[in-house]
Amino acid sequence: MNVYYKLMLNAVQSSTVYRFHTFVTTFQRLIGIFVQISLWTALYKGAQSFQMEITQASLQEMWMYVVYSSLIGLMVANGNIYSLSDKIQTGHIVTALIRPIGLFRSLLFETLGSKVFMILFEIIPVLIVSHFVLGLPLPNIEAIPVFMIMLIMAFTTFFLMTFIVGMSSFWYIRTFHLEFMLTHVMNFFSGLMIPLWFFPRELRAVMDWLPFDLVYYAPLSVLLGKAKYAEIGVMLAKGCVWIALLAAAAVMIWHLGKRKLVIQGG
Amino acid sequence: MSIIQVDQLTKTFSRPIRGTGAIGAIRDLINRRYEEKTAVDHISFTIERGEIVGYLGPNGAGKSTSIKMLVGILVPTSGEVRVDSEIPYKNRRENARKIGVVFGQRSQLWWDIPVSETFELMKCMYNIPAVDFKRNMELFTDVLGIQDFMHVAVRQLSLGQRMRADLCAALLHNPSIVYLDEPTIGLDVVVKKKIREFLLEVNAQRQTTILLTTHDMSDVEKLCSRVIIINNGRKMFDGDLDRLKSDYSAGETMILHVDHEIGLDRDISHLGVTDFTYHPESGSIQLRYDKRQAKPASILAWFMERTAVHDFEIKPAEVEDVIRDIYQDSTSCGLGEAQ
Amino acid sequence: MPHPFRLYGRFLRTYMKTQLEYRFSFFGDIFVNMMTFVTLYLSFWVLFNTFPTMNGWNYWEVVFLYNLNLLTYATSSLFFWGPMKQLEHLVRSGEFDQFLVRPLDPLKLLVFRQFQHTFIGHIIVAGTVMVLCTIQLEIHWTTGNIAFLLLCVLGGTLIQAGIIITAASSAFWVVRSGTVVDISIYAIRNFINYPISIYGRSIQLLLTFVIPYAFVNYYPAAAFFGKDHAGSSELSHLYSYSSLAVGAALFAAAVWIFRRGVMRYDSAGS
Repeated sequence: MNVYYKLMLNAVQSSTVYRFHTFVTTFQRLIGIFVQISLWTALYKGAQSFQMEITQASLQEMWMYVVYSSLIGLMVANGNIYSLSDKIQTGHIVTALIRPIGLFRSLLFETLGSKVFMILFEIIPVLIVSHFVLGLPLPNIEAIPVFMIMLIMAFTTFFLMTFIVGMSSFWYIRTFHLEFMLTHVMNFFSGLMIPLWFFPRELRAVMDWLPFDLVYYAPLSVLLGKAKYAEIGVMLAKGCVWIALLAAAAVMIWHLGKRKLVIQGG
Repeated sequence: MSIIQVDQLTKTFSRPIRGTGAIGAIRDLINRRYEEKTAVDHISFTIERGEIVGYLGPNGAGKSTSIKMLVGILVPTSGEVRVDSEIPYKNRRENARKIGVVFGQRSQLWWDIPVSETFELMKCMYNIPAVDFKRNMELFTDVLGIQDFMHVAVRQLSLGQRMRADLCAALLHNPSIVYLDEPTIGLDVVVKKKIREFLLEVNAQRQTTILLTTHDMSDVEKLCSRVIIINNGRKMFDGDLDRLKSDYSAGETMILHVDHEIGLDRDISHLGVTDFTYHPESGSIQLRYDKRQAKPASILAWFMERTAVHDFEIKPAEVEDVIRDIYQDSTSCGLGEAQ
Repeated sequence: MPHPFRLYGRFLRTYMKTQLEYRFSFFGDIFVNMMTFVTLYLSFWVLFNTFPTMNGWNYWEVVFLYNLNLLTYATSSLFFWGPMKQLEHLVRSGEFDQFLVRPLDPLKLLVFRQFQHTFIGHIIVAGTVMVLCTIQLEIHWTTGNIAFLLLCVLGGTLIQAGIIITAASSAFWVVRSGTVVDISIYAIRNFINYPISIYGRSIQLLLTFVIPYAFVNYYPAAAFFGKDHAGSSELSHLYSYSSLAVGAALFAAAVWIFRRGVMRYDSAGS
């Protein structure tokens, strides 16, 4: 267990070095939030001028959606794709075969380590700004436990997805192609920018079968109190199924990758 | 008229002094203080057309700073520099037409296209007449053997191939002066040999003046007729290689192959030994002494009293050792003026 | 044709030839970049499915606006994105030196060594969609229209180039210039993906007079669709026709700033 702790500490320490970088990314994040909020405000005002009632959510709820979506982005982010493609292409992945720590676990603890720093220096400032400057209410306390479960599910799902994409480096050099596509698919299908309740029925039907909305929409809808019990149950079940599927795929692809390494020598 | 004339060339940099701790940081915001760092300190020398000069010095000695002023990409604080009667930093682009520069590990070639195409682009950029271009390409092929990889994209070349391509690119427009910064670093022996032959050939055929910065002493021995050594921004030595050896070669090295390590913490400086190290892998002791002050025979005898010595050899001063001594001799300033 | 441009023309021909040898990754790059737009247009479509208007702009107008931004950005990026992103590293490591030992202006040298073909996909998509939008909006094409639009695209491209060059030039004065570039071309450019009338006055002023992104797409598109600007007056109509002038001026200023930066590099060393 000591080794894992050291890995996490390592990640925290190297995060503190990039203090400036953090300041800048937080600034960029706040700008992004500002643009999104302006966008929704204009949209709602426009609807108002047409005497249209937007029943799915209020403007203030959308503001909260924007802010929390950004924060969830921080929580689920990981360096898997970059880390894996780098290790595979430089050949360092071989050490993962030798070292006692599993590759998966070392990636996990590296990511978790940086989260600690992130919570202190990126999430809390954004929460403070949005609450005191924008006057956004803090989330409902009752929603928090289920939200935490959803968040863990979101993190795991995304972690597995990026792990699989990162593994593709064994066969396809231009990993950033796949990363690009994942990012853009996520941008749309996960509810990152636009909550699923605005999507037309047919599209939603498709997305219900896909795992992407587990990463953003599921935790967000719980946090904002928009999900009824039945929905929560369905999302949890879907999460378990998809995590199992993705985990199986991840294991399989790692085996294939290992075999390629051993046979071809990396 | 010498092709390169440097007179009392000086370059000082202003570096902000960083205050320590929080108080210092605040103080810095209010009142920034600067310190002057002299990178190049009143250096003077002249170089004639056709010389191959080794420009040596430890890292941070001021070599690259002075070369940058010769090339025209740095403006001196004081002093004069003239290259082919022109002031380089005043007419950077005209000066660029007359010089070739190779920056060691950084390639100046177009990255994504084949080598042959890069050369064509150079031809266009420098307006090289077709005749000269053809002649140069023949020379490059003969001596450096670049035809093997002419069609390969620069991105995919090995270090040795890229170095050769860079050299060709630098010489394609028949510059009168070439500045080479660590041209053989990281290369294998075969390639190094080819490059040295090439430089000598170019120098012989066209009287191309070559200024070579390197840490590789065999480069110096094989190529340079003259050596300028810089340290702490000042010129330490300026003269030909033979003089360097004769003036400074008092230091010799003795290598003893012994049975076991002798407690080297004992004081044997009374024998005139300046430094010694034990190498366990080869079971040998290597030591250095000034032959004007020490007697090799006494040293050998001392060791033989204490251990079984199987074999020994005495090596005369290496250029490397000589230069290291000069580097370390920070108390002297500006010895060994040329001519 | 002046000499350095002939050089670049030659390089481009060779570069494209070489790239096409790696057909798979070349077209792969372009294809992947194009995929990103499918999700983008879907996003806009979903929004407009529920909401009737964005500050008086409808779906096709907003998509047009977005693409005008993209088209000008991608065109400028073909030439400038690569070297300007690299500049911080070049200056800090001293590798920038090698651009000063050639008989060619360093900015030209930086640009003429490379070509970001990955943006070709953006250009194809943006151009096509823009035309599609005008069809959907039943805009009548006249020579006047087309000329106006082309000049705006040119002006917009010059503005995009001017901004990235200026941001990158901070490398000669400041250590973390890479962040200045990123913020300028990503975070701040993000604002003009939507009509700037959705923001408050201070942002609009910023985007008009400080970092003139608004001239890239907002003012031209507003004129094109006959929109009333936020706070429109006689004078503000002038803005619609100023893209080219603003672009030319900004680009010239950017090149001048870059040159001053090189002079500083010359005397300060690294």
